[in-house]
Amino acid sequence: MRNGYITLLTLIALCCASVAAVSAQTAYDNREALEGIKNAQVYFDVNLKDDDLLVLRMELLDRTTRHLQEADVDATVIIGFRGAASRFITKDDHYVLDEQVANKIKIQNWIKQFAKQGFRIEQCALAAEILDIPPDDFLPEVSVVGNGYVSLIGYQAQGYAVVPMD
Amino acid sequence: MKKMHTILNLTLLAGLLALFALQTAGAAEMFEEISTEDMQYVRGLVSSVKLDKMQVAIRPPKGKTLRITITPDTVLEGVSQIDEFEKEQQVKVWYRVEDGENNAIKIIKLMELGC
Repeated sequence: MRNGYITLLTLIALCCASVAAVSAQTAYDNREALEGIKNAQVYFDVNLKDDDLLVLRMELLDRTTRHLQEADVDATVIIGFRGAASRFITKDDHYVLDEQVANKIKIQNWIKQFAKQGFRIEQCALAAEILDIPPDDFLPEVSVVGNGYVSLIGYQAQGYAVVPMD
Repeated sequence: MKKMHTILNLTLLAGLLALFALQTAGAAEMFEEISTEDMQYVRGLVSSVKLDKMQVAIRPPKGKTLRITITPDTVLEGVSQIDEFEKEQQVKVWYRVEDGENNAIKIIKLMELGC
């Protein structure tokens, strides 16, 4: 009987040790990269045509900013849209194909959420002009800027880290 | 006599140039980016291509999808034949409604600049 208890306790201990080992392996972090960092300035450069990928990028963008927050890094975030991605941050179901409307709604919701979180969302006016999208057709959360490339240059010069989302 | 010849030649050349300029201006006017009584204009995205019917479906920015028929007289720019059209390409289309069909007069495939 006593031997049975000992075997059971040994098995439980072994299980706990295994779980702890697995947890330690999966609990990755960015301690080295973020050592001594309390603030970060990030510019996400969004230039995608594929709507499925664009939705995935929005999710990754959200996770990235959450991970910074969890690491106690205060992030100033700017999301710059240019190229064909611009079509997905316009109002209603305009400027996209019928089968892209569902993804466009998801992207619009992300934009609204990001704006609530205090992120600045910029749209390149050159891209809008090439795509024949009048500035008023963009979501109200979006700020249209003269030239997305100039924004990239300017924010980089100000010390922003540029994260390509293409 | 030689001087007279030169003047005549120059006058003829000037006349030809003027005629060419007028024709070019006329052609440019013919394809203005607006709909007129004579022909309709639409800019949009290619949403599908039907090779058997020689039709391209175009989704305008804020409207319903249009089916455009390509005829032997349709002028194509940016592509040489219908099967080169691809989904999501930006196009400008001038067409005429004839017997319930939207017959394309000219289609321009726009470049993707990516900026």
